[in-house]
Amino acid sequence: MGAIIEVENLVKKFNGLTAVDSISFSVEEGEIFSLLGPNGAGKTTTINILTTLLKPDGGKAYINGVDVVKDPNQIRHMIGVTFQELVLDSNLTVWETLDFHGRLYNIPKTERHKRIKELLSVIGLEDKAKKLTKTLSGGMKRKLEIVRGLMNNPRVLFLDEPSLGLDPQSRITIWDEIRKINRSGVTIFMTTHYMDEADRLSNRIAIMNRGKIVAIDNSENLKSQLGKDLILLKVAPEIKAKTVEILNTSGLLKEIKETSTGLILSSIGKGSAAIPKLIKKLDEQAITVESIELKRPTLDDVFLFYTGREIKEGNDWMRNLTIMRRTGRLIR
Amino acid sequence: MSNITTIFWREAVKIFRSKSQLFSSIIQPILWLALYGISLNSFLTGMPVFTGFSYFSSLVPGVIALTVLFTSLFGGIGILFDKIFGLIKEIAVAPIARTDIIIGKALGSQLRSIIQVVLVLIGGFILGASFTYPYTPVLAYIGLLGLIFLMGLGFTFFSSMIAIKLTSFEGLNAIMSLLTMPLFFTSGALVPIPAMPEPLQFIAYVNPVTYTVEGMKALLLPYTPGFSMLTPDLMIPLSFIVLVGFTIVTLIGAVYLINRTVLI
Ligand SMILES: Nc1ncnc2c1ncn2[C@@H]1O[C@H](COP(=O)(O)OP(=O)(O)OP(=O)(O)O)[C@@H](O)[C@H]1O
Ligand SMILES: [Mg+2]
Repeated sequence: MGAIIEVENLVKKFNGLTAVDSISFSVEEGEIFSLLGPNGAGKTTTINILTTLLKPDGGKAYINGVDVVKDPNQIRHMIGVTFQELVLDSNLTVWETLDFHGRLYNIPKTERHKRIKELLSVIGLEDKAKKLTKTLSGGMKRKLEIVRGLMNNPRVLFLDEPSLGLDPQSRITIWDEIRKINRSGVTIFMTTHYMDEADRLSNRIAIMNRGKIVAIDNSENLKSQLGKDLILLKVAPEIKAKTVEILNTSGLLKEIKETSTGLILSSIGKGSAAIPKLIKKLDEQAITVESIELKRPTLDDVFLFYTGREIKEGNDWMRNLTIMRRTGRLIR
Repeated sequence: MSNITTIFWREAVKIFRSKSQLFSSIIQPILWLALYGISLNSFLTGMPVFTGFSYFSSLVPGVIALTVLFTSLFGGIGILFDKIFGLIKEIAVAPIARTDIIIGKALGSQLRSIIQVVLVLIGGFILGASFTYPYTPVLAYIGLLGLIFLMGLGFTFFSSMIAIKLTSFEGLNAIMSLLTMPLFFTSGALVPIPAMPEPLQFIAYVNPVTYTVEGMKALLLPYTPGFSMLTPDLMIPLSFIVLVGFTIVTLIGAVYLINRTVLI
């Protein structure tokens, strides 16, 4: 199958800040594609451009060959979107929410009603059809939002952090829904800052950091690119640079990355064999190693490796605010 | 057209769902009638300008206009709510023209206005209003609905422009009171225009609400020099011309703005 989304050197700036910094990628028809990144990486901005809500400052984006800037209306017929924050009218019932959405796409009444019944049964909300959306739990609201994006039978469904703010149980049921939707032939473009979500759900992952895509592949390849084993090494910050210098001369390492918390080393041979040699070498140069750890790479490490920061870092109160809004603890 | 209907449909569902809001919004106009109208009625009725009708009856058109003014100035603000709560995004990613959003919402606001006006009229009759109808009652009420519909649309488009430009509720209340009170007091709603001091009269002439109030008076009450702005044969067509113009201008403004503003 061919590419359904094609993005070339896409740029978006907000008064001097480059939120999306010349990214390029393509998404194959039928896959689940995840954009993984920390707060402020530019994930939502990317989705906003692809879904015609924002105009880019540079580059091109196509969905099914259609330019998102030149022909937004044609794009709108082909996509469904679930936004990062809760976008449900609390004064409408579950049925009316879907009905309104179907009307926005001019779906004839009988077809619309058939579709609503179908979608409600997919998420098991048939008995809540006449309830106001404000009476639903956070998980139910999210499911409703997701299937709302399916009312118009889209080719691509965009999901911006679909499980944000949900408990582990609800997250798993959301994942099941997403898989089900994908199996029915809909391409899924989602964003997340949960490693496990990207890891378990997606065919391919693009790691995004500060507006750039730093790596893109399937989860297995991303991990194996780091080598079989990873060595996590901690030294005092003031001797970090010197440590890197010494390690560079060891001839045992494929790559060395500095992170905010220490160094990540990927070894050429077996990591367990490299560790004693590295320690000896550092010892000779009077470098005190605070800790050293050997592990199989996880997606977390991949992320740390490419971005130099842990995904959990960053501005948490903003996220909490979104979560509160999502779950109705704040405004609604 | 069907897209306008879709947006209108959501507004209508919400209007009928929150009936308490519908009723609470007519409390203020009814209070104006009951307190201001009745208390001034015995004092002013019988003055030369109020011959053949009571001051109270002459207040009804003004209070109707006030109701419509309030509802319409908040009608467009629905767009600001939708922006702040993100609901506009659902519509913005759908294949629907932004002009349809403006018009659909404004029509929804007119539905609310018309229901309120009918209720205020009923309240007015219960409190003792009576009209002379220079033409016929049927024509009077058709004309009245036309006038408030046009004025309501115009002010809803106008408040839509404000809503498109604002990004938070900050300053909204100040803007609204700065608009409502001057528009109401210079419209001839409380004081006949010929009885106003000259500078106020001038403001009245450029105030769209004036043409609604005076148009309604011309449809409901006898022509009285010193009370009426113009004879009914002139006043009624003039009112419609001015209000149609006002509606077209504000619609163009709102459409211009919404097509040039990032809504998220
Ligand atoms: N409308 C806007 N005006 C100004 N700056 C913006 C705007 N939208 C986003 N930004 C900035 O662009 C950058 C990328 O934001 P974006 O919302 O795309 O990140 P994200 O990856 O979705 O983050 P999160 O995980 O927090 O949702 C951030 O620095 C953000 O502050
Ligand atoms: Mg985001």
